[in-house]
Amino acid sequence: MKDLAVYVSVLRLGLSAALMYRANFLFTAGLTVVVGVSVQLFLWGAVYGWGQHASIAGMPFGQMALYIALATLSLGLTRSGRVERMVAEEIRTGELVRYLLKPMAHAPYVLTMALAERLVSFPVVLLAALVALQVVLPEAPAPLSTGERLAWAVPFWVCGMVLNFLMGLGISYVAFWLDEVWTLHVVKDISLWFLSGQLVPLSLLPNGVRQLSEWLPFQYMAYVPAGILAGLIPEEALPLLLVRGVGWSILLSGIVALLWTTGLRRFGAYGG
Amino acid sequence: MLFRLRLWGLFLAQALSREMEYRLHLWLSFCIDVVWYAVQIGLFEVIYLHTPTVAGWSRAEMAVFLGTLFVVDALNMALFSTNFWRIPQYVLTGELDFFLLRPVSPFFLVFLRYPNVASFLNLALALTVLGYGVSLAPPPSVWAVLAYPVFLVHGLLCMVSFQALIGAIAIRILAAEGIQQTFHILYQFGMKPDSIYTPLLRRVLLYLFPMGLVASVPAQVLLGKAGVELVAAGLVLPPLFLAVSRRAFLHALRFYTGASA
Repeated sequence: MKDLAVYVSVLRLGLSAALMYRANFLFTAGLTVVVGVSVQLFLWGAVYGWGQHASIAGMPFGQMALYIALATLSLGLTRSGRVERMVAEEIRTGELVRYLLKPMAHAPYVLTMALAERLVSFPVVLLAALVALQVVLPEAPAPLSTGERLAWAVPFWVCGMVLNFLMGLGISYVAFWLDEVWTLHVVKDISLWFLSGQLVPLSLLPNGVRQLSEWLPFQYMAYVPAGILAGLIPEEALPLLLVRGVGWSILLSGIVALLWTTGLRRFGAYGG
Repeated sequence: MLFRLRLWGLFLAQALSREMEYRLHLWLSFCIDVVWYAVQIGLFEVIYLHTPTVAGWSRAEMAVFLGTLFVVDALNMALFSTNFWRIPQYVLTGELDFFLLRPVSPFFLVFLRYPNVASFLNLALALTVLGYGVSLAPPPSVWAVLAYPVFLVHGLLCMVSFQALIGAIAIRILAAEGIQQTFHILYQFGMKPDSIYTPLLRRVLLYLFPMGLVASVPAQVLLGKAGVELVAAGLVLPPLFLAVSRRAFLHALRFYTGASA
């Protein structure tokens, strides 16, 4: 109970910190989504020959447009943020010692701070997804009702957030061995545009690559939640996908814990 | 001009010796753009599995477009981009004072002081992609081959102009990280051929916010697809944009009060 109170305080602290950057967040995130989605829609409009092709790989343009909008929102929501990246800087400068002296584990502390950061963006993404589903593109096929689709998408968004968080934190923990890891963060973020299915639905990939992508964790950050909302993924496939997502989360947690334990043995900081 | 070239040569030598101290960083920086190239190529490769043309561009022509985009981008990254991202730091720490006191144009110093060595490696890769695209596409005319480098440089001028304008805003508003990110966000319009956009947006991307001139127009010139309007715009507008943005940047410097005192 005492632990819970500690993490609630950390969450409050994280929310205050995240809200401090709200103007910056709303400006850059809003512009990123609007421009990103617009350029992608123009591109896919051209791919569909501006209405000349009724469908591509079985997807009508309305469904593709809905998917692209939702995939961009999903990746925006699940992408790793400022909090995980700062861990690398704290390791490099030695500021990590501040956390080692506190009565809480480091990873849960960072997770709580990261959760606060996402809590600010989550309602915005949810609202935008609802608008996309209900107002902008109502003609997309609907095997599930809007409510059912949103209910299924939420656990996958959480799963995507956890996976992306763990990847980001794992990369930051590499700072125990390397001086500068920001390049690795950037490489990961750029790779995710494609690997997560933000730029192109993974169902359009060639067979072998598509099968491989189904076993990898990246699809949970954009393709799966956006695919559920756009009606691309059948309902019967969802439980297995969720099990795999949880499995990946457990595996990555283990790797991150291992990096922390071995990295901490090498860590040295002086003064303070 | 010769003096500035010699000076830039010294900047490059300094950058090279710095990067040789952190070789892993050099290779990781190189990897960032390699991954970006792979993502762009991957996107269009998947698209061309499902359609033979996109807005009138065949797969071979798209390879020329991407090659052109990568070359202009690599040149921008090698010469200007690192400097552009440092502008808010110069203003906040007062480092800009040292640029203003030197007997060289502050515009030259601010935008060319720190060359990015890794991006010169990326330039080699970008030229390879361009070469591959040209080998797939119908052979270009002699005129197109001669004109292409001029349009390529003009594409680069558009990138510098836009960054200089944002740099000017950064000097005025101090906390400018969000404003700087607008460059990368809006640059996305230039990462696709202009023919995917509506006629009105194409005009905007040509005359007002010249992202269409970065790669789309040079690629069309090389492929012999550019009409008179595009050729004229590609020749005349970039130097004009640069002159205006340089003036705006130098004007913004008048409002800089220094922070180191």
